[in-house]
Amino acid sequence: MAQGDPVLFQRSFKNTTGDGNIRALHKTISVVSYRWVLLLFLSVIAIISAIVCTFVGPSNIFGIQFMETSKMSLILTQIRLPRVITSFIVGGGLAAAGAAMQGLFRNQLADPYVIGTSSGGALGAAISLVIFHSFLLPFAAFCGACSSTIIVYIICRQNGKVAVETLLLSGIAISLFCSAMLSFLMYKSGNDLHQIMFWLMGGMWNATWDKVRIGLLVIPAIVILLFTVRELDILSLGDDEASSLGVNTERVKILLLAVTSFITGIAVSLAGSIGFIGLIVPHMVRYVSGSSFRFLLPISALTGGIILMWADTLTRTFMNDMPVGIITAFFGAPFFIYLIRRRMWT
Amino acid sequence: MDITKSVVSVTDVDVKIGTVEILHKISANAGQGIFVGIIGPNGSGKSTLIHCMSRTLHPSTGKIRIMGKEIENYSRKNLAMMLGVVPQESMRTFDFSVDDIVMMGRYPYQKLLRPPESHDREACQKAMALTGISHLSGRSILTLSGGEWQRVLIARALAQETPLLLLDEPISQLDINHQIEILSVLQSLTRQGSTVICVIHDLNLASQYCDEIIMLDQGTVYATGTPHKVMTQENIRAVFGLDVMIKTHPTTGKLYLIPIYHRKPVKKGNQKVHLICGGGSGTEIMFALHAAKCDVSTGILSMNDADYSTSIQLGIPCIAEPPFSPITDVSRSLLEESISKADLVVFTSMPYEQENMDNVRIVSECCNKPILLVTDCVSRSIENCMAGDAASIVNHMISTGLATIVTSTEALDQCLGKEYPS
Repeated sequence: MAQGDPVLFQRSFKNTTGDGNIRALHKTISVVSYRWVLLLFLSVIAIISAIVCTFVGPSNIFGIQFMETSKMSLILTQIRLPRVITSFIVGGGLAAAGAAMQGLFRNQLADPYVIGTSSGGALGAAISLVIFHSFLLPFAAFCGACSSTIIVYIICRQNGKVAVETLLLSGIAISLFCSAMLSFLMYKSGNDLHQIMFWLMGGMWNATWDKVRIGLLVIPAIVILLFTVRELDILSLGDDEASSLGVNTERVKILLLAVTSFITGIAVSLAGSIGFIGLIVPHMVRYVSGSSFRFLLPISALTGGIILMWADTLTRTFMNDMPVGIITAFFGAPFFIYLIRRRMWT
Repeated sequence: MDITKSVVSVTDVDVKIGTVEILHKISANAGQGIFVGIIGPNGSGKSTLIHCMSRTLHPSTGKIRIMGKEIENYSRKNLAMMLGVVPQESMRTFDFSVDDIVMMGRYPYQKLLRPPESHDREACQKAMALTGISHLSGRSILTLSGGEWQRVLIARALAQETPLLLLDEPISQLDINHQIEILSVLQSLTRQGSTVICVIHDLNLASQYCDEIIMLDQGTVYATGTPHKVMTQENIRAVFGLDVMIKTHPTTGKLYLIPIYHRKPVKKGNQKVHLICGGGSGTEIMFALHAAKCDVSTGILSMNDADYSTSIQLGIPCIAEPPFSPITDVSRSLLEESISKADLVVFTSMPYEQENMDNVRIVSECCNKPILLVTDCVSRSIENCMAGDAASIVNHMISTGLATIVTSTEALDQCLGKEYPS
């Protein structure tokens, strides 16, 4: 987001009267341009990664004879490209939603997966799948994601504050409840069992251009999040302070809950419940971008997209198309434990 | 707008949280350019009142108006342009820089997606300079001390450039120089036309800086008005349950309060003590005896003596004469009567001037009670403390066994009836 830094840049130039000012100027320039360069660099990486990932896969497209260009283009455009784009959208959306949720809940451990949004979305999708024969599946996933987020938020909100312990516990409770419902549906479903397993594990193998079209809805949602970065910064100080600084807290919170749930719902309907992207990515990014959401949010989105894109390429190329959710959980859970431990130490 | 019109007016505000009534029928006003202090014991509703005025808590009944307009009718942003709030405590979850936090004060002025303008930056720099945190620019808020963080929050409220500031114990974590600095900044803002409403725990600082004081007690306004009107011994005893001495500060003319530290009364039979002192030498023992609920009388004292004002403040019976006048027969007979009622006569280590010379003479003529001569001189020799007539009289008293020389601790113990091995 172009909030303020070019102006800061110019002003600093005018103020080069003293030694201290020059030093401050260097500091300002380095901090500002460093973040912009990072953003630009990640965009370039994302494009290069998308191209590379499209050309990497289990079947070596360079080995295919010229005779079979139609087969090659089929693999590239109908199978791999939608899959790469989907994984980028899902990863970026989840990371952006995770960052926004951390600001909204004022808690670095919030994430669509941890607080039960993903499992709510998965349940919504499964209900649609089993009972309504996939009718309005993305909408059902969205409704599930929204309602579980709102329930968790209501449970753990106390005097406008959200305590870590209650957040995690109510998130777990809602996740367990949704899992139980999912198990019930799986038990009842018979033939759809494999489909439901997909929602639980999370993977990209259903990606088609139709799905990409739905997935593109994530982009305007992320843009809405980018419009609220200033409010997110202020909200992370607490509701009362945010209101006294002029933020319409209730409206912003409802907007953020709706948008993050929307993104999560879409992500779930595309790729099932993929965990921990929304937790780990903003965390890593915070070390390089600082906590201000105007950089944290776009950088997280790009990083999340790139990571999931590569993780998916990894699994479909070398791991026999194992669900990518397994990989993210495999790395994410230990990282989550590390974060909890670090909280205890401080 | 009418200048005399009150900037904030609170009318009949009740606040109920659950079934507990936190505030009851609060009414208060603050005019433009006034520094208002809110004082009161813990749980008297000070913070709740601040919350009501900053619209983070809605009163059950009653109205709050800012600039004549009801607070509910402001939009959030417009309200944030009218009043800046410094909260009592604030969460520091994320690793923001000090500049980010101060810039948040400019939120109500900023347009969506537009970068901060140059006047936004100027306001922030000015606020940071005023609160003395310019050197913290670029630091992470997680590395700040409690006092530094409090100053960052004050800077953020100043950056809002509002005509009204609400502060909830803004100086509770600051060291003494920054307390004075921040209060002086706030005071200078009021001189420029801002209105400041501030919860202050330190009653002395409150009387020093506030133009008006609202004293809260159990959710009601107990007293309101100038510090001289509100900060009386009676009010403070009634609200805080504390006995204080209230004096006028020698250089500022403002009030200052000295709490009376009650010692645990000694159970053993206290003695009736008559204290002869002067020049401030008797203050400490008078205070200690009063605190131990000992029966003390004092005199004869000159009315311009420091010990005289102490005895008046403490309510100790005192025989006094106007300054620079000889002791009258009335005073003399009062002194004789007082000594005859006392179990013990104590002379504190005062300079033996003419007036006290008379005291010494009267005592030596009429007294048959044990006399304690307090001196903290190491040598305990009379010659070190006095000369001439006084010395000879005192020496006579010592030689007849009537008087003994003691240290101030020994004197206190004997007055309080503790046996003291000689």
